[in-house]
Amino acid sequence: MSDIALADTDNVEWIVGDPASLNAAKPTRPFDPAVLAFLDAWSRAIRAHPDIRHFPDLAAFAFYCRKGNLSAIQNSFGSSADRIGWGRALHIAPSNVPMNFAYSLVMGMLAGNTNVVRLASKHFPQADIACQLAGEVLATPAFQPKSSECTSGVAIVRFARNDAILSAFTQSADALLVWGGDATVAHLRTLPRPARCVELAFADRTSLAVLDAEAVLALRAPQLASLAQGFYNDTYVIDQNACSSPSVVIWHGDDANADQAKRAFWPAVEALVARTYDLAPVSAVDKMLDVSRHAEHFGAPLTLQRPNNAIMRATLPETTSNLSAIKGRLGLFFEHTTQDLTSILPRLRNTTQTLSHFGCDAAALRDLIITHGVSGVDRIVPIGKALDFAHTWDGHDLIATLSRRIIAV
Amino acid sequence: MSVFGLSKAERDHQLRARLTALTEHHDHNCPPYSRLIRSYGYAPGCIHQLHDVPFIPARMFKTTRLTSVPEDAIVKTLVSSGTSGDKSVIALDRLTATAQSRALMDVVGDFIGKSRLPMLIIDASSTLSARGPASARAAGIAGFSIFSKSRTFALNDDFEPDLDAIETFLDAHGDQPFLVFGFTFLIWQGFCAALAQAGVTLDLGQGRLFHGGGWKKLADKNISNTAFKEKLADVAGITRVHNYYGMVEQTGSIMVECEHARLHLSKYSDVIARRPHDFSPCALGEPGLLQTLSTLPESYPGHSILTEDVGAVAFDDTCPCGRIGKAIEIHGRVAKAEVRGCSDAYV
Repeated sequence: MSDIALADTDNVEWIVGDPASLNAAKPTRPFDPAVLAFLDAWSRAIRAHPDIRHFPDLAAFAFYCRKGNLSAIQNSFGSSADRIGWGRALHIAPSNVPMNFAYSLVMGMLAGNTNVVRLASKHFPQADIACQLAGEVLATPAFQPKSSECTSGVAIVRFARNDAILSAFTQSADALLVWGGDATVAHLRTLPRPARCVELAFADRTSLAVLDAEAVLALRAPQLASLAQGFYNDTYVIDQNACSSPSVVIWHGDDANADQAKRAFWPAVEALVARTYDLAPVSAVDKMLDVSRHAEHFGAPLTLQRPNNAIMRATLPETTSNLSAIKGRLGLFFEHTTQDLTSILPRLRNTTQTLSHFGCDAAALRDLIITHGVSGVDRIVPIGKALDFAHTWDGHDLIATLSRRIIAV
Repeated sequence: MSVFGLSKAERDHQLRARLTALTEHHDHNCPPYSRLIRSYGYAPGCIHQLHDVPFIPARMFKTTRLTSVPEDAIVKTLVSSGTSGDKSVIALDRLTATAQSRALMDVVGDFIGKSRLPMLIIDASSTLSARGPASARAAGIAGFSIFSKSRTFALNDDFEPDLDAIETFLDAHGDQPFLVFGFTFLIWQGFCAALAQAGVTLDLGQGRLFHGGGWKKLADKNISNTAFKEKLADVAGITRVHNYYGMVEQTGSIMVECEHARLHLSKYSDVIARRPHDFSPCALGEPGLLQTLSTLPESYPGHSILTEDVGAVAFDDTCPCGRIGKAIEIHGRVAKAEVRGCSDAYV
């Protein structure tokens, strides 16, 4: 692997790691024992942190990195005897999902790479805590001296947007993960990198939810409350603005059942929103502009149900041909009822990422998607799990993609 | 009838009739406007009270060209300041442009009378040809110049007081009523603070100052309206000070601060504060997002706009200055929101 060539004048903050160690480190097999030991120690350090209860996403990350989960991932991965990390992986983290950088780093490490993560300029307390603890764990005797390649090759950096510095990193990257959407991906693609660099680009995505009307109607109050909470967790906790948050809500069933199911479901969500969600005043204005944009897209006013500005539902026009183009945020949902789920398949493009569902057969849905040659939908998960990270992401098995397999005959 | 003389019943009736007609006109002639107000529940015949008049966000003028007349009827286009791609575009036909000019004369004329006066502009002459953010000042100066018999710029090109120019102006006009005009922050920074620092005191006692442009920068320095006026009196002897509130989306129907420091609405204007939670109208004195209404815009749907200013309707018909009608308080710009989620502004 070639060294990262930075000038002394380059203003790069090395939050974890240092250039010399990073340059000297080498890739290993996936699931290197030292990596697993580090992740376990990091996970425990985070879980012991006094502030963890303030940051559910930090807690979720620590939970993901626990020994039991990583063992399960390793077992499902199968043998990695013939595999090795590509080399040095460069991760460009998104600017407004605080813990995304950490999951990306973990994938790079589990695959056997050395890693450098470029954090966005914006600070998040939970990210700062995670980085601080990573540095502390790496400084403990268990990971010193730097005999462990992957753990000595961990670096987390921050620098103001600067193509010269970025290029110094990209032109020596063996693998490149770019998070943050189409514009960021397009920009990174203008920078030099080695011909064989393995690139993963996480572009803009939208998502939808499918609810079976009869299944919703069969719920008793506590279960309905739980479903509403799951839907809230997929949406409002991140301003309904994650790629995995549903913008479109499809009701599977006839009109009568669907209408009744909506009358049961939405008040439960509304009650949660009233109790727990604070729509910023300026966001009420942002939503007017979003409504205007969608109305222009449809060529007609939206039929909006708006009990208040925090929760707004529009009926999707029958003629909507591209469900993937619909993006609602801050509590703006587009609804459609159908008795035939195959009718929505031709309306999904490859930008649709997640189909969260309730009362559906996930395997059957996957089958439909494959047999109908739909180019979108990378994951089908229960409502409540839309924001859960998994090592197969955007259709890529990250650990397999971030490592290479050597054939020996 | 006086420009500030409409009783509550008269304004509710006359403004409602006019704003209803304007809403119907724009609904019929401007498709993006129509789509948005109908998405939010407007249907013809639904306006029974002033607060039923639908509104669009001011920011929509930055994203969409909104006109309600054929393109060849447009005689003038106002463009707000702002970074490129971020400017409001306001299309005026002859009727609207004239109406806005007349309204401005009426409103300001209520404070200064009908004759043109010499005007001292607290800005540099180079501002007239400025681009970018300074072009808003150029537009303001051009607008107020209709009241001027002659114009003198009080600042040099470094935005410091041009004492020679000011002295020449005062020699010629200083012992009779004259106008002073400028942007709030520049008056503070480039004039008051600069004079105080140089230990200079001027006597602009016959001057009547009109200033606008927002208080944010002064609020950031903890300088109140009262402190602003005190400093003006101290260093420049100016005691007649009128802040005005206006926007490029509704020129002409500005709101002017009276002798008792209330921002009054003329017969051309109304303001409703809205609760961000559901856009219901606020009670008197309750702060909310300000919806500004103007009887003037016909060539573009600017008659009812939801601004991003927070404020309250403070008075209704009871100001000691004698002007009848609503008065408002502006508290400041609405706070930005940190929206969470996946897509970047790559930083």
